[in-house]
Amino acid sequence: MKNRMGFILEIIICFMLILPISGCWSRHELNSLSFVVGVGLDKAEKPGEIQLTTQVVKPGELKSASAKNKSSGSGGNGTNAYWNIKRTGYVASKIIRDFSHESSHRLYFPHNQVLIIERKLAEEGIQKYIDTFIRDNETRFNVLIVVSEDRANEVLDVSPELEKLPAINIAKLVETQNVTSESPTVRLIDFIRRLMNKTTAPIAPLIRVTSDGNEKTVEVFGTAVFKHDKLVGELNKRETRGLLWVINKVKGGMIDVAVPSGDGTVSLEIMRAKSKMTPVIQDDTILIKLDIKAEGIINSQSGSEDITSPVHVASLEKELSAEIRKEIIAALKTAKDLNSDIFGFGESIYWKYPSEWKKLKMKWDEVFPDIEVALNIDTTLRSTGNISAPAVPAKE
Amino acid sequence: MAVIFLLTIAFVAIGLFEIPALVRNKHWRELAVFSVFFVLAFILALLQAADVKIPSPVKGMEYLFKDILKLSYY
Amino acid sequence: MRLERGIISSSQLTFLVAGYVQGSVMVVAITNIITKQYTWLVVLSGLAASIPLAMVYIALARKFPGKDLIQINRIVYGPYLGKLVSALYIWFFCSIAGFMLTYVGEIIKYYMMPETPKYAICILFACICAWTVRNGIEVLARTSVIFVMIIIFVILITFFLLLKDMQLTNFLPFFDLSLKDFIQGTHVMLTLPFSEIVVFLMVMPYVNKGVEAKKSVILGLIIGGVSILIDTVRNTAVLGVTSTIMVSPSIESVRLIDLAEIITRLEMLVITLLLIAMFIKVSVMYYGSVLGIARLFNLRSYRPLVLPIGSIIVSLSILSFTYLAQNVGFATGTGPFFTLTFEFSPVITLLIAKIRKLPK
Repeated sequence: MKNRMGFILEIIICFMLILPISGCWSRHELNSLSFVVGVGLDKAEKPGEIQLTTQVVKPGELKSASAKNKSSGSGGNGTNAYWNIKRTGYVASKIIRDFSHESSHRLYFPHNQVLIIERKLAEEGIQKYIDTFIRDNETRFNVLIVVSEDRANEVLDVSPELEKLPAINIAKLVETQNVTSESPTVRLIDFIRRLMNKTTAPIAPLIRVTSDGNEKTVEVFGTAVFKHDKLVGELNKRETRGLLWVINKVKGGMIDVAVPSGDGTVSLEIMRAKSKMTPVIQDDTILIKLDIKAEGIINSQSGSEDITSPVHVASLEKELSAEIRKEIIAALKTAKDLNSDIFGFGESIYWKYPSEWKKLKMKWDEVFPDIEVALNIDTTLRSTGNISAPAVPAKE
Repeated sequence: MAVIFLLTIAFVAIGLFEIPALVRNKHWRELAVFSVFFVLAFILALLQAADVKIPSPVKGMEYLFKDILKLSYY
Repeated sequence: MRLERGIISSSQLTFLVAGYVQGSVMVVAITNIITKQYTWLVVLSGLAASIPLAMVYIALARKFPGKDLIQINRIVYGPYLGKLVSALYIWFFCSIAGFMLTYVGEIIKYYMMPETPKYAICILFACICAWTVRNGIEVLARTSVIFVMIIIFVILITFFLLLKDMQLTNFLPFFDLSLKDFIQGTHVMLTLPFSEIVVFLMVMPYVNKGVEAKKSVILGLIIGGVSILIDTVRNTAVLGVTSTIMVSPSIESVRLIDLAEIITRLEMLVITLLLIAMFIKVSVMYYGSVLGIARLFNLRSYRPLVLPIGSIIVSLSILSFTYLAQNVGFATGTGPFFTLTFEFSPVITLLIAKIRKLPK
């Protein structure tokens, strides 16, 4: 009797176990999802409204689409591997839900690469628009944030040369900037960390669409400077590198210096850079000591003189230090004009002098323009490349 | 309705699982305690499935500690 | 009279305690809003403060060898008061099991399956715990050995993978913490992960050599504490000030792992870790409460009680909190005092036993 009862019970339990194993409650089948690779936020016509553009991958077309295609043309020569959906509304999260009116697939955000914000919208303050990208479970924190000079839906429409999807092109473009270090790479989490800080100003790379005749390409050209969450100004490429020297984010780059003896210019490539920020507070004046160490190699020279003797190398190092100093001072000047602390001076004061910081942070806007900076730049040129003297006939 | 039905089936299954062994071994004391908790669990689950608002014990504890004993950080 | 037929060795006890303490590795993030970047300091101070308390528990267990908490209460407090104290303890165990269960349900519901109702996850999880508890403590101790290895492995791997994203400046400035926040943080840390080992007073009679229990429990506590410390340090170093606003910093910091675009999306590892660690915690608490009820009513075996008590715990978990912020608010506000009364009472029990010169 017991055996039979136990046997029946086991069979019933086995059947009941099949139910949860086969599928879960929140399943989403793969072909009911559409993968979002880029998101753009623009200002719409009505005040207070934004236009949200999401770039969605068309997986079937990824193979057949060639990298260079005319986009959104009626009857272009090929089909695009992506589809940009645009909608307007007041709140980003509602617009995302509204996309279901137009798209047959549910938008799936975890593969989002880039978040593009139009400059005009950024000037009004973006905290209320990006909150859904922070709070929602599907959007991730290492999405890159970018400010664009033109409208975001135009930027997302530019067919790139090397990639099939414009959003991936923009993401890779922003990440490749450390070759020249003239533009920062800012993830959403870095942006939020600066936003949450009372005094540090968030930054984001700036891009725009340049047209070369009929061809359009996307170009990165500087940094957008925010104050709290409103865009207040920009830094050009040179000033951006100055900023990156200070916040220890320079990973590469090329600097041209004039040879002291007047024989052309020499291009020096930066291999490594390190910076250290130390605040010193003495009787109400704040001094920030910046120690910057850079290592470089000689990449090319335009003159025919042999500049690889130690005397010449030492003078080149001095020139390089002077050039770096100029870049940093240019960045400092612009930051003080915009009165936003993009370098994190406030944070470094907080780390070292927490009790003074409590008094300072209330009046940071008045204190920041008066901060003095003492620069100490130390450069070393490690190698001269493959050759030592230039390839010219030897001097008699 | 469906949830109440499933709940009843689940509790009947629990009963069928446990009670025959207890009766056969004449563990009357265990059977008594089991029945008490079984009925308690059943009533609690039924009330929750039927969306009856049961006061949460946490609120009772908070009231006790916060208001009466004044022992709380907030 | 033995309610449980299994015996666990002292090394298994070490792993059981370690796994139990590691169960709260993600829950301790609730103190981030209080202690900001000093959570690691509060973890250390909580660990240091809990070691004397653990020694009290072991001393109590040694004084009454082979007897679990309910029996000790009966001997020390007398029949009627002892029964009342034991009933309160069982209520405590059931509540904490419910709180942990609702935390697991919330995290899995929010991060993995948003449309699944929470009770479905809680019921399934409780079924597994019920099955384990039914099979006895020996099974639980043996599985915890493997699970603790997995947990330590995952914590170390995620720590090393995130090394390049860590910024040591996130820990500065040192010692800018107000005393009130420090005490509150230590209190929460003391009661939440570390001193919940009071439930092991129910398990002690079944440990092989009771005299070795001291080393095992302290070692397990330290292993668990160090795991929590590594996890907290990793979170603060990677996320910095943003960890104060996040619901679960462990998952969010592991989400940032992106090594050459190949090793990404590792947060599944952390959620699995949560499942495993919480399983040990809920099972031990569940086991403690079932054993307690069986002992209170002088039953011969605790096995028939497992399923009804499990159902009550699931109901409690759904009943207690409606959303996670309530859980966090309770755990940082009133919760520490609630748990401290139960975790501190064995000290009083030991004192009374010493004064009354028990056991005779």
